[in-house]
Amino acid sequence: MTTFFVDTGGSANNPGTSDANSPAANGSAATVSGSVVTLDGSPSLAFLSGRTSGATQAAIYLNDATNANQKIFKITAYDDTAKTVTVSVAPTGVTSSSWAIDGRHVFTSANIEATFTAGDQVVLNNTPASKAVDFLTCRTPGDSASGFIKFRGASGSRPVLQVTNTNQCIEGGSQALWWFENLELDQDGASGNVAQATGAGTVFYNVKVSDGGGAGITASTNGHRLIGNEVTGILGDAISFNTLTVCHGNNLHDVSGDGIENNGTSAMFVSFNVIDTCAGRGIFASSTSITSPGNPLFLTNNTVYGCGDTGFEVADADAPVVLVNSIFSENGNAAGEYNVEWTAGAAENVSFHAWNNFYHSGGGGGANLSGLTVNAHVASSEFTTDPQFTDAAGGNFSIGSSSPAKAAGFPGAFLG
Amino acid sequence: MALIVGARMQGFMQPGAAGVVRDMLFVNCHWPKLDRPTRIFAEGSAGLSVMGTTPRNVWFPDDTVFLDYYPDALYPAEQAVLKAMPFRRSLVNLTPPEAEIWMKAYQEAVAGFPPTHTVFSTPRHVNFLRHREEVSRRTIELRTDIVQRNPDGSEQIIKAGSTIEKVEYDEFVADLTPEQAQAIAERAERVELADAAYRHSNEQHPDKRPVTLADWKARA
Repeated sequence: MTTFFVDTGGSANNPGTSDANSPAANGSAATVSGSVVTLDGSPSLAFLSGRTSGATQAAIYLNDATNANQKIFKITAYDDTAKTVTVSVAPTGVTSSSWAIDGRHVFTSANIEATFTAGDQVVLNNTPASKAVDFLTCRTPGDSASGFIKFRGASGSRPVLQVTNTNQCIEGGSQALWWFENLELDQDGASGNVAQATGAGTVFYNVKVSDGGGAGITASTNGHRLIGNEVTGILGDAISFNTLTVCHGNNLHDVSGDGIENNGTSAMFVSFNVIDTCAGRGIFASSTSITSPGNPLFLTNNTVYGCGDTGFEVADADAPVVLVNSIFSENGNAAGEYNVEWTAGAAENVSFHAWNNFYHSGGGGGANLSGLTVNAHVASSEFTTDPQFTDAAGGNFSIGSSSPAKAAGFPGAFLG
Repeated sequence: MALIVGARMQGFMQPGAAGVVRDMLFVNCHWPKLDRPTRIFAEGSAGLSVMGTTPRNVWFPDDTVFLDYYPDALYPAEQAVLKAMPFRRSLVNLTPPEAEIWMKAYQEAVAGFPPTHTVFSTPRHVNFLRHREEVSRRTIELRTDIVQRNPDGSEQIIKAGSTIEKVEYDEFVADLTPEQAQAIAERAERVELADAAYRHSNEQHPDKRPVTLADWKARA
């Protein structure tokens, strides 16, 4: 399990502080022949015993004199007599180099993906150069024994992974149990999604998607957690998934598509999100096959405002939905668009709703509710008056002391 | 030069809709989602600068400057605004004082960067034709009266029990060269374009049938 620090000013000669190299063994003139690296200084390599595979596999860091060709490789074998190590991929462009094994690795190249194993952590101190290919492809999964593979910005920073065409900032590949944190993702294409959560258990935490030609974060395979992210400026849906996913505390705004689309039949847990000014729906359960009561769509404490289409739309008459403690205000601006809409059946058939604020002024042709009867389940718990946001147009959804949403939730909670 | 940060520009969908704008720096603005290159700034606009996120299909005045920027300064600038305005969740429509806070923090961060810090260029030419292809259509019955507002500002009431159609679309895009984009933005009478293949805007659906420019022209 290794921590890889990535810094555009990295150097093997750094003194071993938090973002610099502190190796267990190092030297100044490695010689590379094929996949075999001969180490100068005659170091003892006994510490590599049992570390040529698996979760504790060691890595070697090679560096040239100008920091222009810094690379890192996993060690697959070693010879303590010849003072050589065999590495996972034959280094190219490195013939004589300073080197370091273990410790914290600092390097500039972002071409590091093949070296990760479960438990590894990559910390970007600052923003790497942009790319015209997928910025990061997840080649290996984390696992339950060694944990996540974490890829994050250093504390107090938010490095930007920029792709200058239609490729993805994060490509799922063999992803499972990956953790992305403190990053900004910026894709400049006219199409194409920004990031994938394809393997089970992937986490996006405090990630900002600032630009993209397609969807922001797309998720498949169960168990993803999308927490505290901001998605804006993209041409597709902010978050799109078809399997069990938790969306908590995200801010999704100013996108061309939906805020959240669940196009699968699995359960979803959507809570404490602010979804604001999406051109499509705020939240859209688009599948017409969500019939299992074991797969509820659970929505609580969300604020959905000013979306161009319906604020929360359910396509399946048999979808089991729990909708509580939320505010839907001024969503839908044309005929057939609503704050909340069951396009078939009714919310009272197999779903439950209470302690919500549904407000629509009628502007633009949209209307408040379709297929949902206010207070049908709990008397006097829902209302249709203006929630009185402080400055909705400016993105401030706090409520004043006179707001009807104040302490109107259950149990005595604020809505939204 | 005036500074605006995070301005919502989505309403400016037609040529000239943003009016005459002069000597303005746009930072990380939310640009309109246009289907084709469009001059949203009216004739006479000049002295514009753009920094940050991609202004897709917005065709700017000829003298517009697209600034390089330090991506690592964006976060401290954003944090400075959020610290000053704790109720904010995001940088949308910053007031002039807030925009000044943003710029001051940005410049202070840049001043402390070593020469190895990465610089990004603001994209200038991201232009495409986009069209939507119908994938499903359903008829629904209105359960309440609604007020329909027409483009001319008039209103009409559609009564409960009336039926309307809701249509779902897939989106397709085809890239344009700067020359093609300019020709379209200037509404040239004759626009000669290669018969480019569209691709699905959501690449999770690679099985979607590509459509040709001729298809798009037929629908336009």
